[in-house]
Amino acid sequence: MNDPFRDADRALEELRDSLPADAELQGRAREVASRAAQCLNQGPVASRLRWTAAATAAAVLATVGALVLWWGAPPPVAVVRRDPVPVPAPTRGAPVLSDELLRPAAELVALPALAEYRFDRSQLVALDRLAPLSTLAVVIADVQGTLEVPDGAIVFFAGRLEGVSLRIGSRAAVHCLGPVSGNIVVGDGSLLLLAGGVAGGIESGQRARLVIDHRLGGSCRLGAGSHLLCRADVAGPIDVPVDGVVAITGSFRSQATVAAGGTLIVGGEGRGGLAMHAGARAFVCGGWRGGVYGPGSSDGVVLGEAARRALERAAAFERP
Amino acid sequence: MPLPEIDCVQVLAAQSGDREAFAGLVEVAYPVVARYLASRLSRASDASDAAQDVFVAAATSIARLRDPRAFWGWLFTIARRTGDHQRRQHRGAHEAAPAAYAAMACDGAAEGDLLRGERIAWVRAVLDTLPTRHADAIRLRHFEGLSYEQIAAVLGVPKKTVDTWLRRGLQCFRERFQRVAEGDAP
Repeated sequence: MNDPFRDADRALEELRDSLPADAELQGRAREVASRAAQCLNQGPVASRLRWTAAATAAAVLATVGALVLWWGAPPPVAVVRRDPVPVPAPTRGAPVLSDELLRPAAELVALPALAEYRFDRSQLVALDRLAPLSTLAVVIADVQGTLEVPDGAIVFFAGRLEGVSLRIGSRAAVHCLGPVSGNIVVGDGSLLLLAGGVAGGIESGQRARLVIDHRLGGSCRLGAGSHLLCRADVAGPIDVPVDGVVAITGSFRSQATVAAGGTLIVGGEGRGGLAMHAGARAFVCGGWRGGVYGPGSSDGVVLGEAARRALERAAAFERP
Repeated sequence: MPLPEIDCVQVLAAQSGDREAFAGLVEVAYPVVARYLASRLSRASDASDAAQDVFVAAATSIARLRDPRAFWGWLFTIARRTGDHQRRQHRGAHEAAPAAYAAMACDGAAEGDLLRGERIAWVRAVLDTLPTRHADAIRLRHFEGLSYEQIAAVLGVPKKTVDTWLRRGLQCFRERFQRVAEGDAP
């Protein structure tokens, strides 16, 4: 006699047959769909971006605060224009931070579906109603081409900036998380934080504040009163401006010119020529293997251990 | 019965807050999830409640789904956890299922229904003694009729792994069911 308890496969079939069929479940499915849809968080992307922008703004402001404490006198980036900023015309289709691209948050939230709004490369998303600033932009995509940041803007680039020619207006604050492989021009009184380093060169106007957490591959030409901190090596030539400070925690391998009232600080070793104007100062902890010349070379250059001790005494140098 | 196709654009729309799109996804996915939970939970009301909980949880977390193509795997993970939770909540009730069938027999139900009910309860009990991944592979294959590729997609493992789990799971199920039939506890 066939004992049904021994027939495991048949028992499985019995359980399958006891399960509700599709037709029975359809009515319930519609009911559950209606209820569950009410629990859907509408606009999660906008919510996420809002948090990202808020976190970014907080990070930028905290960094500015830290820099103010570190450098002394506050840079004039706190002056923010509220009136519309004139935006230069885009060159050959290059993405420019124009009003058209800086979509207000309300417009983003009103988008019917994410499917209709894809975050393509070089597409910019701005949430400008989160802070009383003229422009606050959060760029979450990688960017290529030419970028112009308007005066007084605060822009956070989360992606890579490949082959980018970045022009930053005056009194702007820009924070780049990814590496920059092009050249950067910084306007008067602007703040630039480069977490990913830069392969090209940097030029700045007056009283700019630049912090680079990685290698600086190109040249560095700063305006009067500007400060640069590079937490790695610098490969290109450097012009330390009048009343400016350039601090490099790594090594320096090219020509350096220090203007009157300027200070060059190198944590590692220096190579190449060091031209010192009268009243210029240079502290090179790892020694200088190239030539040192100019009117300031006799009493303005401190090398090796003496430089380290002097800097430690001044407490003006962050150890590498 | 094939696994219903899910439109990735619809998932993206639901992630952006489109309730209509989300409701459409629920209507498509509900039968699969409800049957899976019904195969795990002996009481129909518990299975129905659990299925609803699955989609409420899905509504609150769909924004965190990174790849819309992984919708089924993601939803099935929620369903599995919800089923586990529901079993823990009502452990006594689910274990007492055979006794409920016995009571039904005393009320005059047909002997055939009693035997069938008991067998179904034992199948659930024996499946619960298997490793979860083996039991889930069996449920998806034998109850939902999914192909190996579909099971692999839902469980997030290679097709060969599904093959291994099904083979070992069925072998283990047959052995244990045999022991149950001979009078041992599952």
